Amino acid sequence: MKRWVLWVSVLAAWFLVFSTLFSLRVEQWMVPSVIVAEPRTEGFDTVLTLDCLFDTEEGLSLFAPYEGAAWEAGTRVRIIEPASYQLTQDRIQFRGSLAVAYATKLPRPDALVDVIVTPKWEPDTWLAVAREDTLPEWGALDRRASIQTQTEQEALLALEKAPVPFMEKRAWGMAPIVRQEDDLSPWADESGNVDKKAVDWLAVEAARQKPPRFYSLNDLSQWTAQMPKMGLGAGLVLAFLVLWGFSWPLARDWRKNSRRLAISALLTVASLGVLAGLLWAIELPSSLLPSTHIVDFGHYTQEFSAIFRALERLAAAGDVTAADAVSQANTRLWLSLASAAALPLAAAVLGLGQVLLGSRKNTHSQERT
Amino acid sequence: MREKTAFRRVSGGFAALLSVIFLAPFCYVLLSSFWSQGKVSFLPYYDVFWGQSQYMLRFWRSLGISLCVGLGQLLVSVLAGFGFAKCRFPGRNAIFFGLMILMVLPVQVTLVPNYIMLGQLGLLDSYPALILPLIFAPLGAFILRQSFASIPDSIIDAAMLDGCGIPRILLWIAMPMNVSGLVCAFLLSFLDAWNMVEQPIAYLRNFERYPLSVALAYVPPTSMAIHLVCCILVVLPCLFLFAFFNRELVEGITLAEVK
Repeated sequence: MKRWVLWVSVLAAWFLVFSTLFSLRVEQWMVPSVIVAEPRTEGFDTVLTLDCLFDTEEGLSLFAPYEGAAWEAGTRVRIIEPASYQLTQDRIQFRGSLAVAYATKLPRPDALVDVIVTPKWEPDTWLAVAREDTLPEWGALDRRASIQTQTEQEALLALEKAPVPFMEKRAWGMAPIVRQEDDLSPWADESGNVDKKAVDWLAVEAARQKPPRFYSLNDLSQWTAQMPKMGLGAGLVLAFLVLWGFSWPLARDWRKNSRRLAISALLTVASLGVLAGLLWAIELPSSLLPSTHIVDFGHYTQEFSAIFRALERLAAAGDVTAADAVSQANTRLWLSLASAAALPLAAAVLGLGQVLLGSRKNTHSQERT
Repeated sequence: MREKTAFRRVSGGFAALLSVIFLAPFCYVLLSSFWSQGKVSFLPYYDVFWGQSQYMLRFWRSLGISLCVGLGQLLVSVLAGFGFAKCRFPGRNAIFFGLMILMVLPVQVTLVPNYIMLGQLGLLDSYPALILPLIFAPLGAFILRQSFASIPDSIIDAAMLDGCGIPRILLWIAMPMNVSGLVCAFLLSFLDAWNMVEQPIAYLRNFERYPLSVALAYVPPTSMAIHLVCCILVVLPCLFLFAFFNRELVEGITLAEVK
């Protein structure tokens, strides 16, 4: 009974320590960076631009930062009640003090955020991917942006200077699409006149054509650079599980196998140390992370398949940057898979060796007696 | 014979009923912790174990406080228990009687005097404010006095004749003969510290310092499942300690063995 409890508690203790280290890092990775905007005064009103609206599960929402307390200490965001603001054709009449304008990813209500005052500017390449069959027509691009390569469904935009960290909604502002005329027919009277005060502008905004999805190739490159470390981390976790599994037959006669068990224990502690080092070495770009939880594999599958499909098509169209990004990602993916597989294999060989050696020694000692 | 069988069946039935009554809340917590937003989900577990660090950090903080209390109380109780059981000094029984009176006093009675003393020592709003008063709790001394008393005097006398001093007798004879008593005293003090609620509320002002047992009440009411996963987290150390030391705990409590 005690052997069994001890064996399970080793796994539980390891998991608790690992969870603590992992949660410390996940918390840092998952915090989106946001830029907040103060409403500007226009006549008797204080207004915000339409950029501040975020497409959430509840529809278009406006977020405001607040300081939490107790379990919710730190700067967080909440969805502002729709009754607190009013939409017009091209602005939001808002009486509050601050609202979130841009974010590296969709903020979650009551989640921590990191408020950025002045973003850095660095050269970058943005990948634009059409939401539907074709890319919409580009409007007036920012003077620092130019189209590098474009196919029917995707485009690469070279930027002499791009804001860091990457925020998709800022990209929509720097590379806007031509805005189509709003369909106000539901609010038109019999003669076709529209009373603009009666229009539900929130519904109009929701029906407007969405700009393409934007991704930063700098962020993509940063992500793929972390893949070998992530593979190594996954390999270490699996290696610990393998060693832990092999320690069961050794624990049956723990007095005789004390040296082998000590080696396993030492490796377990070392694995936690190396894992901690790896976790702190991994820097994941917020724009490519899911907004809810880090193990949302559906999000990664959807995002990365869209990105690489687009990059492959651009590479086929002759774009060198896209071809480089794809080949670099492939190399790093194989490297990460190799390290994820090698460590548990090594642990299995070590564990098997320990068990076989232990049983041989036991047989020898029994024969001698 | 028939009466005996009927009695066995009835007592077995009562034992089973009692087990169900005690296990039902735990089973409810365990099953409901996987139920979030109307479906089976591991997200509450993700939120507590991986999503935010403060749950795990608070867990380790509580574990650290409880271990300090458990080990500290064990040290004090071993010395006090052995003194009461095997050393003769004037007023021994009166002091032990006083200790027993202290034991039956509710925590709330000693809360204010302790608060004043800790304030005078400048320890309020710090971890020693939680650890120090519990180290000198009388339960451990009482349990160990009873278990040390069950060691025959002849063994102690023989050791003294062989030239052993009191510290050596305590370290090499009394303590190894009384492992279940020691484990029992440690476990009970550990659990006392692990489950404390009144003391942190009274002695600590900063929420960051609250142990898990108190902070649990302040978990944001966004998801019931997160509360329940926190309950599982709180139960884990107690469960493992009991699974590992159940025999010693029962033996230590019964205090019936003659060595």
